[in-house]
This record gives sequence, structure tokens and C-alpha cells, in this order.
Amino acid sequence: MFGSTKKTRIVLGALFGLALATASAEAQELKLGANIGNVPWEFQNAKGEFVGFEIDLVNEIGKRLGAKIKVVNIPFNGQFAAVQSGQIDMAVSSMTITPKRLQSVSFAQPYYDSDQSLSVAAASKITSVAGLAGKSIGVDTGSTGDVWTTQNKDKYKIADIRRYEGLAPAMMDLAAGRIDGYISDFPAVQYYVRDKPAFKVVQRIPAGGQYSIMFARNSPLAAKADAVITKLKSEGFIAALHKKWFGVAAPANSTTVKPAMMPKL
Amino acid sequence: MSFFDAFLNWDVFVQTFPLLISGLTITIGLGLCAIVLGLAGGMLLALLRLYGPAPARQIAIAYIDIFRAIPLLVLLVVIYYALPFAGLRLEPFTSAVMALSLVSAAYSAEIFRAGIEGVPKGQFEAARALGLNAYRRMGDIILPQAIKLVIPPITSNSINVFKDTALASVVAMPDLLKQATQAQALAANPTPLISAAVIYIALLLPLVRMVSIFERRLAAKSR
Repeated sequence: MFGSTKKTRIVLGALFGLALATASAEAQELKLGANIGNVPWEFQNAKGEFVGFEIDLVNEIGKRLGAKIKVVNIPFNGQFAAVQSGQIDMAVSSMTITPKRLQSVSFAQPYYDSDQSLSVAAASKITSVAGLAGKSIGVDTGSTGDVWTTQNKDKYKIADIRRYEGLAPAMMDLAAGRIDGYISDFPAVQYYVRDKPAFKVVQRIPAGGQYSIMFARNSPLAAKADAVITKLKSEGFIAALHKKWFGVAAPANSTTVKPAMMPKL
Repeated sequence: MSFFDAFLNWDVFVQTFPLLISGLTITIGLGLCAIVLGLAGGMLLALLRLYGPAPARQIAIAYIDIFRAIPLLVLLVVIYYALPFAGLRLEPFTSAVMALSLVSAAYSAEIFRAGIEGVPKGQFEAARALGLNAYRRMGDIILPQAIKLVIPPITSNSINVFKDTALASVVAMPDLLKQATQAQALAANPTPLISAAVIYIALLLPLVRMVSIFERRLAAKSR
């Protein structure tokens, strides 16, 4: 079957050439690490497809750069090692740009201005962070909500901070009554509770977070993607995504609409 | 950014070290509780399985089989997230100790059983001939010899239990792994994970070495 007659050698050569050609076509593929389950930014729909605000955004960026985007499901906490080891080219997880993170990674310009939020069980009497004295509060490990809550632990006399690996387990513990409140990104929680009457968002907490795509430090791709984002903003593409995924228009002076500088240390 | 800046970043290491140490104390507490309870439970199960009345023996066998078949992470999630629906709400520490020791007891039981069965038959007969009652036969004659036989596998099992404490980070336990993931997310740098790995190794390497030494001694004696 694998005898090396002249004919088979020619066929094998042709196959090899074809394989090389496909390999170079695949070189245009960019790997996107996405924290699947982080609604409405990146999640799986009923058909099993990856969808969401950031999936739409990165797919469009890929199209403009002439590259195919391959989505890899990597949880928030695994993304830092993944971009720095080159396993993925970029990562999205409604990731907040912080000076501390900029020391190790690069970000494109922000495209969403986020607030934090306090959510509680529907029957809870807590109406704002002022009512958190002596209470247990859940956050996502290492998130902006974690940073805010840790900084304000003494101010609001919060008894205990529990750290979860994402929204769903924290919400389960909120329902089970192990925690009295959950402090996390406003848009994600708002989207999550919209069809779950067991929970309510009682306060929007201004924390000044801005989301963007994360890259390995000084990756050339970061500047390229940043330029595309500027273009997409001027075309109104990102504002349209906001309307699509949140049902409301983005505020006119937000980074969803206005171009911004690429964050530098 | 070089490998060293990303994975062995000295500044990040220094900044996050106190957080890791606070996690380490919880990991050690969790590990010790689970190991002690698992060994006690394992001994009880082994004795029930070998010498218990018929129904207790069947129950012990069923327990040992089931808890060796269930993945620890699944058990932990069930205990922590599903039991509240049945009205039992355990704290993260209690849930983690429970899951770890329930599984460890099943494995330890099999190890102890092998140890007891490994004691020469003559010892049982001699103990009986001396007129010792069942408790003294076990407590004074059989178990001391059996335990000596199983020190290497029991230590091995304890090391496994200790490593498995890292799974507790899924139930919001601020253990070593959890603190490391938190620190790496805050700094967007995986150095704390490497630090945690080094701490685990530093803690467990002497124990692993001890197992080998015990095994060699045991082999020398039986020759």
C-alpha cells in the first residue's frame, strides 16, 4: 500500500504540497481565549455556538485583520498565564484595565465603561452597601469587585469576603444563604438576574473600571487590534453591539462610542 | 516579555508572598484535619469489613467501593452546593474536610485491611492461645504489626489527601491555590502559581522521601 512506485511518490508529493498550503492558510488563525459563561460577553447559546458582545467584537477585528478567530474556552484566572505563554494570542473576559496588570500584559483601548454592583437574594433587606456591616460578601477571585470590596472592607464593616470562580457558583451560594451579597460587574449581573426572580441588583457602585482585550506584553497584535477598534467606533459598530446585547444605547460620552487612547503604564 | 518576567517575576513574588502564606496555613489545617479523620474512619471501616456482623460488613464494603469510585471534586461540589437544598448548609471548611476524609477513609480502609491480612496467621493463633480477649488481640498484638506494615502506603495516601486540598478552592476556601490564583489575577502575572507549586513541593518532598526510606527499611527487615 505504501510502496514507493513513481506514481505514489508523485501523489504523496502533491498531498504534502497541499498540506503545506493549508498550514500556511492556518497561520492566519488567531487564538482567542474567552471566559465562556461570562454573560453576555462570551457564552454558549442553545446550539453550542460561542456568542456574545466580545465574541462579536473580536470576530469583526479578525475579519478586518484578515485572520480567522479560533475561540478557546479559558476561565478568567487561566488567561494571564495563557497569553503570557503564547498559548493564545489574546483574551477576553470583560477584563478591567488596571495599572498593576499593565506591568505584565498589554491592553487595546477600552470599549466599555463598567460599574460594580451589589446583588442580594430577593427576600433580603439589604438595599445598599451601607447595610453590609457584619455580613458575608461574595466576589470573583481577583476581579475588580474583589479589589473594590477588599479596599472597602473596613469602611462598610464587612465581616467576611468569599472568593468564587465566577458568577454562577457565587449566585448559588447567595441562593443557599451562605453569603448575604455579591459584588461584581454590573452588566454581567444585570444580564444574569433579568430572568431570575430569586435575586435582585440593589445598587450600582461606581468603580471606574474599563474593559478591553488583553494581549501578551508589547504584542504587536495589540496595536493592530487597537487601530481596528478606533475604526469600529467611528463606524458605530461597537455602539450597535451595545444595543444588540444590552437592549439600550451606550451613553454618548462612553468609551463604547468614543475612541480612546491605548492604555500605557 | 521574557519567561523570567512572566513566570519568575521577583517583584510580583515579594508582593504576593504574604497572601500565599495566609493560604498555606489554611491548606495545612485542612490537610491535617482530613488526614486524621480519614485515618480514623479508615481503621473503623477496615475492622468492620473484616470482623463486623454481616450487615455492617456489607455496608462497609458498599461504602468503600462507592467512595473509591466517586471523583473527589464531584463529591465536594455535591456536598457544598447540593446539600443546602436538602436543608444542610455546611461551611466551606467543613465541606472540604468532609469530602476529603470521606474519600480518604475508603482508601485507608483498604490499606489497613491489607495490613491486617498481612500479619502472619501464627500471630492470631498465638494471641488466642494466650487467652487474650478480642480487643486486646487486636489492640496489643495484631494492629501494631499491621500498622508497621502499612506505614509507607498510608503516608503515600496522606500525601495525596494533602495535595487534594487544592480542590477546596472551588468552594470559596482561601487555601494556598486560591490565594495564588487571586494574586495572579490581581497582578496579571502567573508568578504566584509557580510560588505555590514550589511551596507544595517544599512541604511534601520530605514526606515523599520518607515513604521511600520506610519502604527500604521494611524490605530489609523482611529479608
